[in-house]
Formats: sequence, C-alpha cells, structure tokens
Amino acid sequence: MSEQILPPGTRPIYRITGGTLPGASNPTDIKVCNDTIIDIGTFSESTDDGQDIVDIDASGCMVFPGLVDLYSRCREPGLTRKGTIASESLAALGAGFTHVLCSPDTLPAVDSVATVELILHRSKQVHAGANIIPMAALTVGLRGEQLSELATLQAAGCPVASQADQAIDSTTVLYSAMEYASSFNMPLLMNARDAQLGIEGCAHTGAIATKLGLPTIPVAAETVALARLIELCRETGCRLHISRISSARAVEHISDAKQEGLPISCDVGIHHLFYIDELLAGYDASFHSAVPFRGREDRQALRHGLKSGVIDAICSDHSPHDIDASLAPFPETEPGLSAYDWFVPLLLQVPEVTGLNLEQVIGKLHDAPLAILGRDSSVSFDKGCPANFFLLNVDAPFAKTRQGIVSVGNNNPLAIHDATSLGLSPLKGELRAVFHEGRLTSYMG
Amino acid sequence: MQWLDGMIEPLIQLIAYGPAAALIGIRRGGVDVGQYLHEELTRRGGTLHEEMGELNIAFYRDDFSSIGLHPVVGASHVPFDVTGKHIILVDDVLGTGRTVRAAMNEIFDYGRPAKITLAVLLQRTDHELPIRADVIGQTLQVGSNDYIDLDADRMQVHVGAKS
Amino acid sequence: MTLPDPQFNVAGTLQHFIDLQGLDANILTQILDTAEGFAGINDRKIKQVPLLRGKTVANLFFENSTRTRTAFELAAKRLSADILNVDMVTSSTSKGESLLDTLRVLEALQCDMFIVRHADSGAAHFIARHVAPNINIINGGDGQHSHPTQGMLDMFTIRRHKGDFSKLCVVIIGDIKHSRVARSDIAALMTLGCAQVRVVGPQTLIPADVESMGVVVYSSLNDALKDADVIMGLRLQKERMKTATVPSSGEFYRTYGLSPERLALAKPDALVMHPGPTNRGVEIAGTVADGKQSVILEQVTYGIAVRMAVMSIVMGNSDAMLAQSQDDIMQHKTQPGT
Repeated sequence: MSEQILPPGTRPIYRITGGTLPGASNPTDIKVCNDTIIDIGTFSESTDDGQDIVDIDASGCMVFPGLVDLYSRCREPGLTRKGTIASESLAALGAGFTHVLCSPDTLPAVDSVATVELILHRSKQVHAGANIIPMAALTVGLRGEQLSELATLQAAGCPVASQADQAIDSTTVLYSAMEYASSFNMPLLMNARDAQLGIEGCAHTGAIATKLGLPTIPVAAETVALARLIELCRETGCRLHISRISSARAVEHISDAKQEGLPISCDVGIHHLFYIDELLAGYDASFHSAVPFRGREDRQALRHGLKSGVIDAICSDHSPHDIDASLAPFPETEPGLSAYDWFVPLLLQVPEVTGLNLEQVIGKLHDAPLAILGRDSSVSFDKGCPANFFLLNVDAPFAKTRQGIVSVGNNNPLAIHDATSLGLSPLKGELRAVFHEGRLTSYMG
Repeated sequence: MQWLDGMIEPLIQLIAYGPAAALIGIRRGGVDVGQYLHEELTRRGGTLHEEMGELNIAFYRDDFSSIGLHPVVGASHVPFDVTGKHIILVDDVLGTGRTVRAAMNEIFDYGRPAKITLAVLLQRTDHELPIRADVIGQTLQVGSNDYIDLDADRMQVHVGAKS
Repeated sequence: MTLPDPQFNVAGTLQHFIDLQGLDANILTQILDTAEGFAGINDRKIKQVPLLRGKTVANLFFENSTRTRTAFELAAKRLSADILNVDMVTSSTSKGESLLDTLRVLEALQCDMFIVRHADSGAAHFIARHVAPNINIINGGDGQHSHPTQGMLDMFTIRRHKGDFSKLCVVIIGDIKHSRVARSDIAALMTLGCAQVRVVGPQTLIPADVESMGVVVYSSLNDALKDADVIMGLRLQKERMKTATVPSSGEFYRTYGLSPERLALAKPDALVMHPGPTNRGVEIAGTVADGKQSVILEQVTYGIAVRMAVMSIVMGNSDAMLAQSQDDIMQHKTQPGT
C-alpha cells in the first residue's frame, strides 16, 4: 500500500471500515481519496499517521454501489412548488441514488438545449445531491406532433428521449420518432398508454373502481399501446425501454418480444411491487397513481417478472407534490407518490416478495439501468475505481419523522399509514453514508 | 283493574256535554290504557269518536338536542279532524310532564281542538312542568329514582327502584 | 380499508350520510322505520315537526338538479329548519376556488348541515373528512358513486309494497356503469337481504366485476324479467350516444326498454320504479310509467319522509355527541380544550 502525502487544500482521506461488500463474506475496509478508491483490504490505523484521515464506521452495514434511477421527477423548471432540483437531488441521495434520470415533463418541457443546461447546471450546484440527468422530450412540448432536436439534445447531455406520461396519438409520428432516434442510437424510454382509452381514468378497471364509481384505466390501455410500440420497434430497430409497467399481460408481451430478440427492456416502479387497487378503498388519495395500481394477479406477475428477468430494472417513479394536490375529491387529486424518503425500507422488502436476494435487487437498480443507458455497469470496489457507493444498515429500524422528510413532497402512503396496515412488513433500513464522486454525505447522528 | 274502572265515571261525565269527544293515546303505554278506556266508555254509552288516535311523540320531544332521535316505532295516526273536538288525551304514567307537553304540541299541529282533557292511569309526584291530569287512576308518591312498569296484558302495575 | 369510515363519529353513531356501503341492516332499518313516522305528515294541518327548529341546512349543489334539491328543501322545511340554497354551479368554485376553500367559507356562515351534490365520485367523502366537527354532510349524489337518500327511498317504496326483502327478485335495467342510484340500490338491497339482484344492459353499460357487489348479470332483458318482483329503470343520458356507448335511444328501447309486453314477463304484481326524470320511450314506455304497476310518483313522495328521517337521525347524533362531550367537560371527565 503506497503512502500519499496530500497537497494542502484537498479533501481528507476517508477510511471506511467494517462494511460488507457485495459478494464478500467478511467485512472489508475501503480507503477513498478525492473521487477514487485508493485501497481495499484490511487496514491497521498506524499506516496512515500524519495524514488527514476521517474514519467512517461501516460495521453492520452493507456496501452497495450508488443506485441509478430510471424515472423520477424534480419538477424544476416550472413546477417548483412541488419540488426543486436541489431538494429532490438531496432526497434521492438519501435513498442511495447517485444518478437520477429526470422526466422531461417540466415547464417548459425538456425540448431545448437551454432547459437541459439549466437542469445540469442546477444539479452541479447542489454539492450533496445526486446527479440529475434530464431525459429529452421526444416531441416538442410533449405534444406528440413535431420531433424535438434529438441529436442536439443528446449532445447537450440527454442519454434517452421520452414522452413522460403523455401518449402519442399518431402512429405515423411515433414510427418516425423511433426511426429518427435510432439514427443516433438514442434509446427511447416510453410508458405504454393509449392516447384515448382510459385517458379520463384514475383507477384500475375492476371491482374496487366499480364500487367507488371511479372512471377507470383498463389493462388494454397499456397493452394495446405496448403492442404498438413493440411492432414499431421491430420495424425501426429503435432501442426501446418500457417505463413502469403495471399489468400481468404487459409482462407477457415483453417476455415474448424479448424471446424474439428485439432490443427491448423494461422497468417497474417500486411501489407497484407492493400496492394494489384494493388500497384505494375509502378514496385514499395516497394511492392515486398515473400508472395505476392494479389487481393482485398483476402484482404477482410483476414480482415474478422481476425474478425471472423479464423485468430488467426497478425505478422510483418519484412524484413529489405540494399539499394542495391531494386536497380534492379523488378523481381531481394529482396522481403520483413521493418515493425517496420512504425508498430504503421498501427496497429492503423487495427480496421477500420476489425471491431475489438483496444483491440481485441492487443489480436491478444499478447494473440494469446502466446497461439500458449503454454505460459500463461493472461494479468494482478495486483500487482506482470511482468512489460511488453507500453504506446501508439493513437491520436498523426505519423511522421517518416529519422533520426528516427531505423531498418537498409528503405524498406517500407511509407518511400517513402504518406499514402493516398496507400489507408490508415492519420498516427497516437506515442509510448511514453515501460517497458520491468522493464526497461524503453522512447521515449518522 | 280498580284504578282504571275508577276513571270511567268521571270521563263519562266529562264527555256527556259539550263538543264531540275523541280519544288519543300516547304511545305506547297510553295506547293500551286508551284502548281499555275507549271500549269501556263506548260500552257504557258514552259518545266518543269510533276510532282512537295514537301519537308517537318522538318528533316533539324536548331532549333531541341532548340524546338525539328516539327510535321511532310507527307513525302517529289520528284518523279524525281534531279541530273543534274535545280530545281525551290518555297516557299510562304522568311523571315530569314533558311527554304530555310534546303530545299537546303535536295535537296542535293537527288542528285546533276545542278542549283537551288529560287522563292518566298513574300520576307521579316528581313533576317538572306545570301539567297535572284531570282524571287520575291513582296518585303515587314516587321519586325520580323509582320506575313504574305497566303490564298491559294483565293490567298490572309494578313499582320498583331503578338499578 | 386503511382509512376509517368518515360516516361515523367517535361515539360510533352516524353523523354523515354518504354511502350505503358500510351501513348495516340495523341502521338501514332504523332509517326506514323513522321515515314511516314522517310519512303521515301530510295528514296534518301543520305539515311540520319541530325537530330541526333553529337549525340551518344549506343545499350545496355543484351539479344542477331541481328535483333533488327541492326534495331536500321541502324535507328541511318540514323539520322546521331554515334552508339556504347555495348555487355552486355559477359560483366561485367554477372560477377556480378549490373545493376546500369554498367549504371553509361556507362553514364560516355557521350552517349546521350541508346537502352536497357534486360531479366527482368521492366528493362527499372528501368533504366529510375535512368539514368542521358538528356539521353534518348529506350526500345528494357524488359522481357515479352514491346517492344514498335515493337508495333509501327506493327501499322504503319496496318495503311498503312488498314487505320482506328476503323473498324478492329485483331487476335493475340500463346504465348501471354510470349510475350512482344503481350502486346505492344494490348496496341497500344486499344489506337488507334481498334474495336476488339482477342487472341487465348492454356490456358497455355494465361496470367491470360488478358481480363482486353480489349481483347477477344478464344480457337479455327478457330472461332477466322472469319472476321479477321489482323492476328498476335507470336514466339513459344523451351523452352515452356521443361517447359511442349506445348507438341510439331507439335501439336502446328495442333491446332494453320496459315495454308493456316485456313488463308482462315479470310477476303480475311487479313494481315498476325509476329515480326520474324518465325518458319516456327510451328506458320505459309512457304507458308503463303511468300504469297501475308504476310507483314512480310514490317514490317522489316517500323521498320527503326518507330525507326527513336521514336528516333528523344524523343531526340528533351530532347534537347528542356534542351534549355528551360538554357534559364530560362539566363533570371534569375531560379537560376543556383537548
């Protein structure tokens, strides 16, 4: 192990001791300097005498690579009463995310370089937040008519293009968009929804919505749109990622498409692994989601799909809202759950409902998203690798007080309901620290 | 029953002259007593409207604001016009007087009687309103801690302490 | 359900009347029995009882309805309450004021009870959850979800004519999917132990998984009407033609209209009911609507007594609970201000 004398004005050396790395059976120590891991192994304290050292106790913690969120909303620019890049990137980091793909449905939509640069600039200004990466709006204003300047937006920093939660009505436009995007190898991240069927709906078509008299979103609204996307993918060769699927039938469609060898991937929002339409009883607006919570069989299929690999990744679908968004009769409430402040305990329950182990679940939030974005996903905790990881105490009880909520959005069922009343196990999990580009954010004490 | 029979003669006298008489019983004890009186008076030749009225005073009670709506058992049924009549208002027990006040308020929503005579089988002494019966079967010195139970079938009265 | 039923107060008594789902047979029967008490009110010279004297009832109708609003107004007046008609259709909410802000303004007027009709399913639930304590909310119809007073007056009408629900076969025809009346009727019939409830209409008008509410679905009207004791028609709104749900009122009448010939397939003493207003020649033949089996006008009359019953029960429960808590304070059982 070489000794390094640090020039004045640099960050201290961090010595993270006693954490359990992925795949390791014994605890391992990590040494970080600037944004790089400079040593891995078991250290004795004496070897670092004379240097500026900060000791981080990672005993009892698992060490995982910083997570990558394939769908989130920072609300900035334009909807800042619901959230800002500052607040939401901080919240994301607190959930273990070091990189967050933000939906292009800001105001204005992300269809111009100016908006891309604003988002990237704001994100850089937040020292202790996740990196916010904007998605390009596939069409201008997300209106589904005119193509955005995809090549320009890609060069400015958008790795994918998306229509957010807006459907494209014209198949001609969709076909063209997919052809055009594939010229620049720009993957499309598309939520499967029909432009008309179910557009007025706010709940899954089924017994609960029937009882409550709510307008509904049939499964066909997802599967018909999905079938269209798959067919166009086949013809255009466009790299397609289906964002946030909700139904059993969708899982089957994607499985078939993958078996054919089409360039398709998909993800599921974390909440859809746990919540179903029955929870809407009594008009509980905390379960109003743009991608509706469907029935038990759908949830079961999503869980199986994740285990079998048909579903590649998990995203947060983070949708922070101001308080007024839920103060209306159910159909008038704004859909969406604020995910980050309650993400960690749900993450830790994914193994028990899917049969995956925790490392595999982390893979769905790190390796898979990176692969979908065409980035190198190999995780290495080796000398010379970037220092992007977090320490997670999986056994510590989870307690989120009102003051502890980092996101602007309090709109999460766990903010008002007890976990067991929602069919969850008691909440556990505490993030002790995050290293992002070598900077430490500590959550201890 | 002796107390009941003692009420007949005074009532016969009262309905012998004056406006046409009709009998109204207050649910539920007053209906049982009223039925007996109605049969006896008719049998003894008294001129009384052939049908008896029944009042369910649930909507006229003065305790709605404190204990809510009492369970309603059947509608009031007054099968004659009360206006201009001599109403014999019958109840089994007159206690505080509030029931009778409610009944009179209800009768006046049906019309304007010429006269109301109050006939009760038992009059207690714990009055809360200045209402006293005109024809009484028996007066009982009872306190507010006592209750009176009228057994309609055997026309018997039981007095006991509230538990 | 993870959220408590807002219809009940902490004392466990009914304080809002929003949804027949969640009310047991005892409460429904109490309402029907109480309504019997009010039904004879027309026989009196003074068609009023003093129960709600000094109370103010406000009609908050966000959707137009002369018929239901007038019925509530009459019921309130017969209970000696003062009635306020707040025209919400052209008021500030249509200018963008939130429902909650509107509610706060109206609470400041210190009314005791609001009758609410709104186009959103769940609106009455929302208002009941956010209204100040001791104000009663009566749901006059919320979206496609519930019209509980209509459900109760339908039950009252059936009970008056047929008595025991456990032997009855009730058929509901038409646009069940968009009908709050149908949902309320189904809930009440199931709770009161109705032997069989059938729904019949084209699939576009039958909601998904409606069998989960306990009904049997028919697609042929002729089959559904066999042995029916009660037939309930539902209004077919003109919008349905515009949204490609039903091609025309003519075709609807030919396939699902209650004609005299179809009526003859049911039991000879079957009741013909409809919440009104009826589209004659669409849901029901004019002659059937006016015929001797029709109790449609009786439904309207009974609606007054039923609404009086509902209003006095919930108002009485609130007052009693308030009196009890003031009593507790007086006797130092609770600290004032807690």
